[in-house]
Amino acid sequence: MVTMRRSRTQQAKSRAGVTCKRVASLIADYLAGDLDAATTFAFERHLLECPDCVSFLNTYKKTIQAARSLRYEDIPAEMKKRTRQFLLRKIKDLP
Amino acid sequence: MAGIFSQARDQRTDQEERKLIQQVKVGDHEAFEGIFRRYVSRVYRQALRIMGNEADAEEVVQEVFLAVYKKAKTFRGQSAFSTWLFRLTVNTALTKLRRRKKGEEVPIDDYLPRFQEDGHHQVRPVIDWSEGIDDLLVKEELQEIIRQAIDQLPAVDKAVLVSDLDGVSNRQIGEALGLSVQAVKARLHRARLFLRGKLAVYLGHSPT
Repeated sequence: MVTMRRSRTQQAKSRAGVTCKRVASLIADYLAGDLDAATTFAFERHLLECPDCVSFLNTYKKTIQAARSLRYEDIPAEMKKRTRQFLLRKIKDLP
Repeated sequence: MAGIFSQARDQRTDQEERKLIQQVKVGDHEAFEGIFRRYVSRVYRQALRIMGNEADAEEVVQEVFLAVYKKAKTFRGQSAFSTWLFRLTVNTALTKLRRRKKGEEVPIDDYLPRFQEDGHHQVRPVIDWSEGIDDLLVKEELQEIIRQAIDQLPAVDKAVLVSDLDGVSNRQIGEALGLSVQAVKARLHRARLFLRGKLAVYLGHSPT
């Protein structure tokens, strides 16, 4: 009797031949458009069948977006003035 | 159309920069001030992102511009001045960062995803917390969590990540840090995964 129940390994691999671990390692290249057509196809097919990897991809993308949204203050005017004066003093002393 | 205009503007900027740097080479202080005015904000922001605090960023800015003046003669114009300046800034910041007394070590691996032997995620289901954090992002607290996480990265990984956030290409990052593009990509991916893990934990989920 052939069992219809496949092992978890078989299930994972059958998701278009790539595992969740492999998907996680390919995400950056996928987002950068650096994967070849066959790997992109396998990656996207895996996503169609794996909600965990969809969640992983979404949170990875959101992380990049969140880091890009960080606001950094411009150089304070007083520091800029101080640095300019420091540099002019220094370069005057140089031979 | 915009491309043509921006290309023309880039060429003009490049010519102006080359002229200024030629003048700096012969000790023209006004030309040096011109370069300082043009680039101080960019250098400061880069330094601040890597160093994580104003005082260290200020020192980096001082060292970078002093190096620009001293090393102007070695600038051969093979790359754009901005590329040369980026390299100087990143390496000055990295040197300083390595000298800084190390704080508490953060086990990076604790925040990276883990997988079972069969390749599945170790903790399932993976929670999609991407929806709904936009409101939190405008709040200082979450911004601070991300800043702290960036600060906890190893020095080179941090330099790679913040340069990427600044829109610097992997090739330029690699040239500045002496890394292959493949190595830059690997470090960038690991840094992003770490940040993702830190955000997940902050939001009450498993980092994996």
